[in-house]
Amino acid sequence: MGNGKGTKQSALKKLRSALSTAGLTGPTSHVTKKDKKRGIAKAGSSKTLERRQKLRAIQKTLNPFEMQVNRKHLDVLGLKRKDEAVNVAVARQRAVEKRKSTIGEERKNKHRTGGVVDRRIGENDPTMDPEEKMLKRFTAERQKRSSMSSSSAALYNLEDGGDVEGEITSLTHYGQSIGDMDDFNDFGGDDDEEDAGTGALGGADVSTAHFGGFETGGPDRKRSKAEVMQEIIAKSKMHKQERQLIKEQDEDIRRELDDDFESVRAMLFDDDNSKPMQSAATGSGDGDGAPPSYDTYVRELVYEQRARPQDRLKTEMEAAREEKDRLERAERHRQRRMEGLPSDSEMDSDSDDEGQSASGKAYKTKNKRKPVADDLGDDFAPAGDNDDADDNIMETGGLGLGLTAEASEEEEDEEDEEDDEEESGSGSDSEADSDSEIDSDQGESVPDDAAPANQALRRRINSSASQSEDLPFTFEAPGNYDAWVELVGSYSLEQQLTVVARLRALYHIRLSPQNKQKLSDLCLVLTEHLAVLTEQDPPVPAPVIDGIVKHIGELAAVDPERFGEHCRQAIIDCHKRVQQALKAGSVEGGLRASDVALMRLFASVFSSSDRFHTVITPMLILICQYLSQHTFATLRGISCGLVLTGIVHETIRLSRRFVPEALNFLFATLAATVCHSADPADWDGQYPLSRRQREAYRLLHIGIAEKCKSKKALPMRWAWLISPAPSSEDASTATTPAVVVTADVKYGVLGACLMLCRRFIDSYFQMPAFIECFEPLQRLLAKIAERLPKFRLQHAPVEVVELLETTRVYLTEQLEQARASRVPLKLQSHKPLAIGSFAPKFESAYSLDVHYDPDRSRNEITKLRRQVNKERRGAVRELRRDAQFVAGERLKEMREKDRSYADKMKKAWSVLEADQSEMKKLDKARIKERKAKV
Amino acid sequence: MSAKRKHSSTREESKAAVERIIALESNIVSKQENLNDLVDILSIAKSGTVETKFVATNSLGRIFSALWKQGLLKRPTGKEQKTTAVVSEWLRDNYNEYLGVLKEQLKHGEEAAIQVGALKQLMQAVAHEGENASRGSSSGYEFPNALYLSILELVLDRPVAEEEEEGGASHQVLRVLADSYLNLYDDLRYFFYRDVAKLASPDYDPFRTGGRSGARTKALVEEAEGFVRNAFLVMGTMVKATAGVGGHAAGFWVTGTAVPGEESSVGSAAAHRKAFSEAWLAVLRQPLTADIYKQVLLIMHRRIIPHMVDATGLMDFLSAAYDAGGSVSLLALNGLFTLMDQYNLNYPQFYTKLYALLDRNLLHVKYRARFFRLLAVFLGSSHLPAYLVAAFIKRLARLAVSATPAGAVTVIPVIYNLLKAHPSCMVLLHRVEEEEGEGEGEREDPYLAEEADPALCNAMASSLWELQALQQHYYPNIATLANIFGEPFHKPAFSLEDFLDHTYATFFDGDTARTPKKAAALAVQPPVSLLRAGDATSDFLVL
Repeated sequence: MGNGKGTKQSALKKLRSALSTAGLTGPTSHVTKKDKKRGIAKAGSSKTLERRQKLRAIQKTLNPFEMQVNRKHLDVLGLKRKDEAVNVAVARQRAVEKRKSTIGEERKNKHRTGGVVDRRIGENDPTMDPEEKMLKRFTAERQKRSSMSSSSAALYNLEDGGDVEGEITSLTHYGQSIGDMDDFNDFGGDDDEEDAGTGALGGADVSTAHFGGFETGGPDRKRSKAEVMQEIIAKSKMHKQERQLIKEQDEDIRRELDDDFESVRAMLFDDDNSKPMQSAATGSGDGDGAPPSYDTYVRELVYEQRARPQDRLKTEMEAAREEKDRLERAERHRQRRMEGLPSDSEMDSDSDDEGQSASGKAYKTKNKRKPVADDLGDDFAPAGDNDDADDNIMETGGLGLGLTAEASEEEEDEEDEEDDEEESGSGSDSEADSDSEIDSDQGESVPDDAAPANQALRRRINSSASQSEDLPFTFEAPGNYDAWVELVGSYSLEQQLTVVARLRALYHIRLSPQNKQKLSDLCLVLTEHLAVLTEQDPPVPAPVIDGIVKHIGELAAVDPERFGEHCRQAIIDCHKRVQQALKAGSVEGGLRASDVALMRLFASVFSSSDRFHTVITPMLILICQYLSQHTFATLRGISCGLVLTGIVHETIRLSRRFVPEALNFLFATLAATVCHSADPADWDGQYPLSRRQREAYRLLHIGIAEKCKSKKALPMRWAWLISPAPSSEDASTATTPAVVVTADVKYGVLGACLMLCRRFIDSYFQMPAFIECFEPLQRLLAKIAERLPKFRLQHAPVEVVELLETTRVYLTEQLEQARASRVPLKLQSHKPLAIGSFAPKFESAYSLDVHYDPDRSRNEITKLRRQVNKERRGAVRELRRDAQFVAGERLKEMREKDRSYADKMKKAWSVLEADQSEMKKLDKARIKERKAKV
Repeated sequence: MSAKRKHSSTREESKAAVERIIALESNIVSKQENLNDLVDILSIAKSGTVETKFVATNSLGRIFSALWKQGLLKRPTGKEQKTTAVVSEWLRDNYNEYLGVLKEQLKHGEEAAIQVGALKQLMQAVAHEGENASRGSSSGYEFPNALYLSILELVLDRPVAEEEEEGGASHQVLRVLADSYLNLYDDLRYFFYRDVAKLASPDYDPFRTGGRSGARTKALVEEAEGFVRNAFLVMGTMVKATAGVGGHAAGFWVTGTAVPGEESSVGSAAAHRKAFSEAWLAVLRQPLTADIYKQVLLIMHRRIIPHMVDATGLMDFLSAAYDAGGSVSLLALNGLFTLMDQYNLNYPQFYTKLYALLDRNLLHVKYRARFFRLLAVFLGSSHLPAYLVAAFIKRLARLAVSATPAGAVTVIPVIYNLLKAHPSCMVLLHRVEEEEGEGEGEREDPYLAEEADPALCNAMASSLWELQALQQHYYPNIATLANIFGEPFHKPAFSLEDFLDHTYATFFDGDTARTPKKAAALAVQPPVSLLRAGDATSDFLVL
């Protein structure tokens, strides 16, 4: 700073000394006339600049109050900032000037359209000398000219000898050369025939064309120049558009003609003489002797398909590895879902890959792997797991796919049929029985749960089992179950499978986009069909059921969303029924054989190991509710319970989740065989047991005198699950009489329980509470073993006895192992947390300006808020200054006006006063004269 | 056709009878000379069709109430003329006969309407008699309790057949009694309580030969059961138990010349409470069926105990119920808690009994929400010894292993809250073994599940493996909830109310309420057959 020395001088002295030291005052600064002559004047411009700079520098140093120093937070060496020190006065001056040039200009040009903008170089720059201006203008002119000459050299080319003068100086009017206007063709009144006769101009013409009349836009208003220009622009645009339109029309006509010519030419000329004619036709245009269609040939060849390098076919090893990778990936996804983690991120990347391969590289036969559940619906080609056929289809790239698929499926089905015939001894029985069935069906009253379609189908299924040998090859895709019944009603069950296979081939998903809908319809129809078939009494042969299940399993992937929703609804319906039955306390429990079958299907179609699954989780809840709340008083109920327990086991097979209800049911059922229903203390164990349940379980109690008829264990039959016909009349005529709970049946149930127990032991032996869960079972098995052999082991089937023994031994082993490997829990082994401190946090160099908020997001919000405030304040300040400026300007104008008025008046006054004084003078003179005369 | 004709003929007959009754009634009312026609109406009331009986009793009621007003039915004092004395004597005989008819109808009426009608007529008679009696008495109020007692005995002492649960005749009669008399009139209620106590007392039996204290025949036992059930049905539905006794006439059925005030027994609230207490104690002393037992216990803490004079009188009853075991114990707990809380009852071995209540059916019974609310209160004290809390925790965890999801979802927050309130029990979740060498051989769970005493069951030495099993529960919400035991105990204690009222249905609805956004995930390998090869079901099932 200039005053940093601390010397106490007055500001004036300082200025003087500064000026003198800068050499701006004093003798040297005066420019003598001599100097001027010598040419100092030439350098005058630079000198003034220098001078100005010096003055500015002095100004800067002299007034410390005009300097505003912005403090820095951090001093960085070598970093120069622009706003370290700001001269406030200068800045203010700058701001005023800027306003003058922006707002001031705007003010000046307010309410003005058009006008002349002075673009002459240096005209608005007061710092420029006239010489400088001229120099600049001259250089600019030169540059412009040189650039123009490069583009249109002919214009100023003197050598050319053309009429350069005329070109340059040709006058224009309204952008048109006056030379073109000489004939005055488009003078407005030219075609006016009425006026032509009189030879005088019409009034309108006069008003528009004479005496500046052309300037008036309308009859009553004078148009501004801007409006006139706009009109011109609009007109020219319109003309341009019209031209384009005409051109297009011409093009169209030409194209039409060309087309017509093609057809005409085809009619006119034969192949042999077409060439000369062509050459004749094109020859006139081309002129040279080359073959006329050569270009076209070339062009065609460019676009012709060329042989491309194909992807190498995969070796067996590679294919196997790919398949392995795919399975591993699917398994990984399943694991993630089992743990309840989202498997989407991986899925997405996969599906992206597939999408690319499907869209971009469609020609490749890359997609050789078998379709799976993780596939998207679009590129999924459901086909049987007949590998050869599958590969064939894939490798032919989809062409002729329908046929091959059909053929392969047919073969398969024929095999199936043969198999069926071989093994279905019972099948023929059912056929033989069918006649009697029909009769009974005539009088059958439809139970409330059986749909009419069900009944109709039942009738048809059984009536026409061996009817038509020849199946048609094409079918209408069934949209709903009624349509399906209509379609296959006359075919046997085995033929129905063929129909399904053919439908799937006919409406293969690759053949049409609509087929996805049709196939998913078919899938739902088949699900319904399965429900109907599993309700049949006598039961439908297993191969048929399995065939349908297989189809459903494969079709489910076509539209998993729809299929999943359908299944979910089925579960919800079933739950409603079971809930009602439980509330009413009915013996039947509201669960049908078809429900059980569908649940079994869902357990294997869906990924049942998921932690949460939209179908499986509600299904498990439903099953568990049934198992824990239903009172098992009939053999049917118990069989349902056992099968459901099996389904539960299937769903937890991989995830090994813990299902207490299943275990409770198993243990209670096991206990029922030996425990006395009257004595509650006899039923020791963890499972809950009410008196009602205990009494109902009396059904299974194996009495002392009961003997088994056969030495073999009686397996459970599907027929046991099927609810008996509602009316007694039906029950008497039913083919399978209601199963009597004999000792064989009881031992069968016992055996089933034991087998399930063993399965659950296998699943749970690693569970932490294995001992707690299965110790009661150990005691129970001991009790069974103790009570059974005493009286009647010799009557029991050998298998069951052996099973009991092996299960006991196995369980004992497992329990011992579990006990050996058990350790106390250590669930709370977390990383130790730091002890909370209440000592205040101390900042060594606390500053108000620094933000110590540890919350980052809050910090950022405060920062933003500050910025906004700052900007707002700045904007307000700017606006206020603008207003001040405008007010100042207005005041200045007003003053100016006042001053000019005052001047004017002054002038007038002075004139008048002069006149007056003159007159007075004259008067005085006259009076003097008169006096003198007198 | 013939049946129809017959029907119509009987209808015509009854129509004629009704007309006759009406004619007779107007005769009687108009002139005293025609009083002899009473006998005709009475005979119709005794033996007629249902319709005529009904009409006849109604008209008799009207006639007698008119006679009461005329003062003809007063007991003759000897001051009147001899003829009037004879007439009133004769009329009183007829009146008693009429009451007998009504009682017969009340007891064995064919239809509910007849029975209810008879009840109403009898209550009217009570009102008239009372009015008449209080006119003569010094206090200005007299209640004809003899008649009332006989009515109540008829109403209450009838076996309720099992089949007529709701809407049956006796059920309706009881409801009418409760709703339109006992709930509205203080005097009726007061005397009802007193009479019930009298009827239920073992030495009440003026007319019976055997006596209840003697050898109980089966019929007698059934009768007693019926009485208790009826009494409970009436007493259980009474809205105003004792409150609202005041000196206003509207609250009294029998309108005497003066309204009984606080000094008389009918008017004082204390006497009402005493009558109430005695009635309940007398009823509860009777042999109760299991059903009634449970229902009494259900309303005990809210509707009986607050109105008792001395609630400690219920102590024996509640203790016995608490010792009974099963769901009865669970229900008794509520009343017992009220006694302990407000009446300073000291129950020995309370926690041992409470521990015994945690049996295998606990998580499956209907009243478990009620129980767990109380359990949270009982175990909420921070002064309980750790071994006790540990025993409860361990037992609850044991139960949760075989519980339904609804049970498990209740138990988990309870255990969490207990562990949080008693940090010394955290060893159940996390045990650092210092004595490594010692515990080498035995890995047996030190907890003794069969031990009835929580002090001896050695729960503190055990670990909660059961909760770890719940972490693998098939229902994902429970698995997630059980996972909190593996996390640091930073969460605030759970509010139990959110977890108590779950059932299978709520879980199912919760899972299926929203339509899923994503497609259901399919199995990796599509199924080939309904039963997978090696499936657990295929072991024992043949398709």
